[in-house]
Amino acid sequence: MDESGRMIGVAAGGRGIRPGQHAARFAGGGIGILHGSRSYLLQDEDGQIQLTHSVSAGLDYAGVGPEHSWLREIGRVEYTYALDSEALDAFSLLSRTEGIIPALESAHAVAHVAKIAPDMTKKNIIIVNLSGRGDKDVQTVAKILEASTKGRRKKP
Amino acid sequence: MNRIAAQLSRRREAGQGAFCPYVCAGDPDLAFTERLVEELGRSGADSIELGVPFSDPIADGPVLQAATQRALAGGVTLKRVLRMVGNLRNSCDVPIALMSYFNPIHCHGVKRLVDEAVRAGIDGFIVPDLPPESAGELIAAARARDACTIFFIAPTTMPGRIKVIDEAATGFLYCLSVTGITGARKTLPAELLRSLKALKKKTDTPLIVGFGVSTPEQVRRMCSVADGVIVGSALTTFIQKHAASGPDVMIRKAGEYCRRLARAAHGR
Repeated sequence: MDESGRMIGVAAGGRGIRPGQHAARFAGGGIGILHGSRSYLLQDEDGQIQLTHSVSAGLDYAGVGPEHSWLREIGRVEYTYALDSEALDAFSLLSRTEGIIPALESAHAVAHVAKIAPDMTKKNIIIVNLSGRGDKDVQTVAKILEASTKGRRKKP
Repeated sequence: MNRIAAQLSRRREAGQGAFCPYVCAGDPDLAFTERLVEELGRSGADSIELGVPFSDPIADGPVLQAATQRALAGGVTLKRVLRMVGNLRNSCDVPIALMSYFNPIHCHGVKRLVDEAVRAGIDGFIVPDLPPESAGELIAAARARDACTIFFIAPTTMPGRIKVIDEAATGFLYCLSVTGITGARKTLPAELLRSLKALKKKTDTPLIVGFGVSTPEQVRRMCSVADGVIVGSALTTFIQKHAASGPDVMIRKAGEYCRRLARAAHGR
């Protein structure tokens, strides 16, 4: 694998890094064993698995693939997270500007691109991995947007 | 000799089956569990499988999941379960196998857990999500303390793997009656007795059948071939039925239930 590029993994920050409110396993997780693999896990001090939350169903899980734990331990990939709200904004941003609907999982990566790109030059190349398409998520997103619009109307 | 192995060998020599009830520790609290295990021990139970509640009990059906949830809601932890076993040992000598999913054990430290558990009075370990190939540390720690390591044989276990599992197992082999989760079944698979007979030819390790067993009739049938049965969900459901009458009645009823199934297992 080419080792010159900087690699960033963007986990699900959910509603913020508090127990039960997120699924960013490297933020607050420890090494544990669940469903047959040893990896970073969101767990309490007795080894009970914590509940997780993410707007993206595919990220709403207490464990992370052991490959990611390895890439993090050897320092090849840096890991950060994006909040639900940032992923939703990125979902709309890419849909509006490129006509590509990213999966809510991938929208976390798009959110991070939107954060770091302004500090980079035109010469820098950014590759974002759209791991899935967002057609499957439009109903979820529509519901959330609808609820937030209604909320705004109530409190002008 | 290890208490589990000794009791199972006594039953085998007498041509009897063993009755091994499963109890979720801390359902609804540990004081209740302590009394319950004592009562089961007095009521003919040959060995107790004591379950440590875990947030993600992948092998458990709805009845035991609910028991787990009640226990976790009461703040039960592995450490507290061991403390309860320590107290229990002042008055009760029934063999006890500790059932825990692996993460709480891993979190505690495998060797440390085995040492503390055996010191508290645990006689064996059942870790459903730990295959023997990955259990080296547990096996070594348990052997050093003369504690059993109990592993599973499922209907889907490939013949070639039975030897690997049997070599890692001491005390007994936990034979799953079904490909599925825990919970009483009205009927058990017809081919079960045949596969138990075939398994018996391959090993001298006692065979204890679990998952789905609930009635005295099923217990008798299983004990006609196997060395004994484990009954969990049916016992839990029975105890829960008397929840409104309070702990004293629940304990007494559990004892009656245990005597009935133990009689079926012992062939009396």
